[in-house]
Amino acid sequence: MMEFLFNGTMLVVDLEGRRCEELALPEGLLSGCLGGARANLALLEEYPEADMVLGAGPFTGLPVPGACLSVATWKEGERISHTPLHLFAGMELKLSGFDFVIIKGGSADPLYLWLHDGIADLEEAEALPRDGWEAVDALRRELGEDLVQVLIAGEGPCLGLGYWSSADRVGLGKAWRERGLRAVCARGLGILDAAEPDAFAETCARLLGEVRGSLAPIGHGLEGIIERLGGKEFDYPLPLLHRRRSCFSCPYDCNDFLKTEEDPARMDADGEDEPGLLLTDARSLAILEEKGADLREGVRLLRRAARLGAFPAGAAAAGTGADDRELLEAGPCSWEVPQGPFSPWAAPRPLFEGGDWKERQALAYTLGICPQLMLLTPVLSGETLCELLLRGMGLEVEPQDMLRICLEAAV
Amino acid sequence: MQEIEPVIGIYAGEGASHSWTWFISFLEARGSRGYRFLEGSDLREDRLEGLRAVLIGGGDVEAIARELGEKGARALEGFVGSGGLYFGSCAGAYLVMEGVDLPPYTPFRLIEAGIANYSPAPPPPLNLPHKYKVAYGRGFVFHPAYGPVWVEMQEGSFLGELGTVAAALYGGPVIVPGKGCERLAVYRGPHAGCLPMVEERLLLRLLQNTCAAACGTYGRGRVYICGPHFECPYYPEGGRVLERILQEENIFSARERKQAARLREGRARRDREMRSTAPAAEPKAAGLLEEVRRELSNLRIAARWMESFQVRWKLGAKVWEPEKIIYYADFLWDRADALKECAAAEGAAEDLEELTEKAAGARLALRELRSRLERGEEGLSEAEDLFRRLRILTMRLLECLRDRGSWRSGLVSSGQR
Repeated sequence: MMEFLFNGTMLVVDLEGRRCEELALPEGLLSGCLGGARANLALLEEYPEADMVLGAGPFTGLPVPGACLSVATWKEGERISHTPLHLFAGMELKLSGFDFVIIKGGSADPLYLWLHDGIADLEEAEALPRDGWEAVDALRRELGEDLVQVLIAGEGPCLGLGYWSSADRVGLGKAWRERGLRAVCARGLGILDAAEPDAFAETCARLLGEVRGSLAPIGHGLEGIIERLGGKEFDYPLPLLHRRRSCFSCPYDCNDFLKTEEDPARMDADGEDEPGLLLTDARSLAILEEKGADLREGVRLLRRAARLGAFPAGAAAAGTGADDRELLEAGPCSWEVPQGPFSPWAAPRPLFEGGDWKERQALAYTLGICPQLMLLTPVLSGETLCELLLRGMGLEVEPQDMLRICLEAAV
Repeated sequence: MQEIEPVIGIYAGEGASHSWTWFISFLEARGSRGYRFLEGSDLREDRLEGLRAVLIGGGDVEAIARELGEKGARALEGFVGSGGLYFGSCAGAYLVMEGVDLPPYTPFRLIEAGIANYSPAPPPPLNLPHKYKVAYGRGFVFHPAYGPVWVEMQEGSFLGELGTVAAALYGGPVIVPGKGCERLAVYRGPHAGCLPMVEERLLLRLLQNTCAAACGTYGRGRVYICGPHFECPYYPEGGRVLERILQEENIFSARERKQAARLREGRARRDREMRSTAPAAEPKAAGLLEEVRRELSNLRIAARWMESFQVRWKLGAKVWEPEKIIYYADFLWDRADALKECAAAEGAAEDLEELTEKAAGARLALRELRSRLERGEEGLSEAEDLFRRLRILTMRLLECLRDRGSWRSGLVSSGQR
């Protein structure tokens, strides 16, 4: 019963021994921990020699609003951090056939992990270019598909989600590189089953409409979030805006694609090879606004940061005159958020009345929903999420019990 | 392991399009692996012993005729004349009609029938110009519609009880039955989703109450020709027509019918049972099995990206699109798990080794084709090489499932019942 919404399979990757072992999920893992960040912690306890787990939530990759998320949980000494893997990477990771990827050890030679159709390959990465974008291109060329999602450790501290900056604010990129893991690539063509497929799909469709309705006052894009946070109009025109893009299954289009190298109105793909940047981070745009930076130069700076693997907000704070070394050394410069393991990537407080930041993040990181969306809408309530768990996983759980389990990920 | 006696020969040689695999889907859905593949040399050298039926589906009919040649035609005549069944759909139907008699079709004359979809000067096509017509003599065989059509079974014939069904028409003939040729089914116009290629009046003249399927006797054997692909899994109702024909001719045994019923009981449950009861493979075979799955997965992932290229290749008279690469890759992957059951069988390691090598070869051929396309080249010879490799790989994988698995292995849901 408990394999609904999951593949039922996890992977233990031994970088030192260059081995991948495919295992069934431990008995009781999903009923006790639901998935995502909470299950990642349980697996770190079960595999003390491992220090990192990439894990999906029950809703990851399904038509639940905002269900794009997998989570990278990293145990660095006594410190635990959860990094959201959004855009399409989290979904592809799960649909590649593995619910959880437990990583241990380190390799003297650089490797990359290729996950596809329930098959895991550890491959040599010696020949991969140092440049993050060139490395992504090389991997996609090698694997034959441009839709392969690549989590890439570039030259800097911040893990890349393909070409774009991830929500990593703890230096996962640097940690991966130092242990010989250059990239995790995933392509997900798998299929997940729901306990009650029709009822689950109907609930998702209803929720999508309700969430969309609740987001109407916020507007669009990263600027909508910044405006809501500041309580005032976003006074930083974006003439370079080409389009906005949602992550997988999300009704809010919070990623802004800005074109610096060609006319933003141009819609065909025959122009510049690298026409601009998909901006995935509200904080860095807010800093550019605060500093009154020239938008084109600011976006070029953030593009350089994404390519290097520098923290985007740190780069924005360093200023458009910063050289590559300064970008690589810049800190995360994140929003100030409550202490804990959750990434300060999403907004620092809920953007609706009555929400609790930590609770919303705990739910998001455990269930596989975007932590940003969870702060934008109250519609994804405890009752609603329990209904989805019942229809999807066949798991009957009360809202307070679900929240208790999720909050255990915050310890 | 249960021995399977292949009694059905499926033509998968030069000239065959990917549609030969539809016969496999059709048989799998009925619990049967009693087939073997025929290539041109099998027919030219009259290696049809043990077979009770020969099926030829879609493809480039001229290329098939050239591949089989006079000797192949004589072998088919001998086979049917001595009591065998010939079933031809689309290209397989054109091939054996007496009315299609210009070289290289001259020696193939199994049934007195001609075609209505011929014109010295067909009107310009409304859709899909690349699929519209094929030169024949001083004119063209042209196709009035492309996609699903309604086909009504002839009342009073053994098919009459099946009523009207939807079936795929992808360039098959509008048959003009001759003497001694029994009309079995008629076209009843286009089904939703069918693309008209000519204006409505002409379309209805050709596809309304005209002959879609016919049969005749040749010596002691029987010949069936069909315009639509009744074997096509996209329109599962059509499968009942082919099933009924094979029952009528005693090709389908009671065992296969029982197995088809068993399949309906619940595929997921059966798959779980299969997994739990499959014997463990030797380490070497287990490793090779993983290698095959890895290569097939890489192949299907790389194949997906081909969709992004606006390209098609004309190989002989047939147009091939990137979608057909994806089709082959998915067809193979859908059967990859079933190989687990074969891995424990004696001799499986050699088969798996060969499959790994062939799958890797296909993946590299795909990569080469992609790099040609990215350089702005057409990649015609690379595409030809790739499709040949995919066809051979698919045949070998299916042979492995047939020879090394139990009767159930690799039966993949095609939606056809």
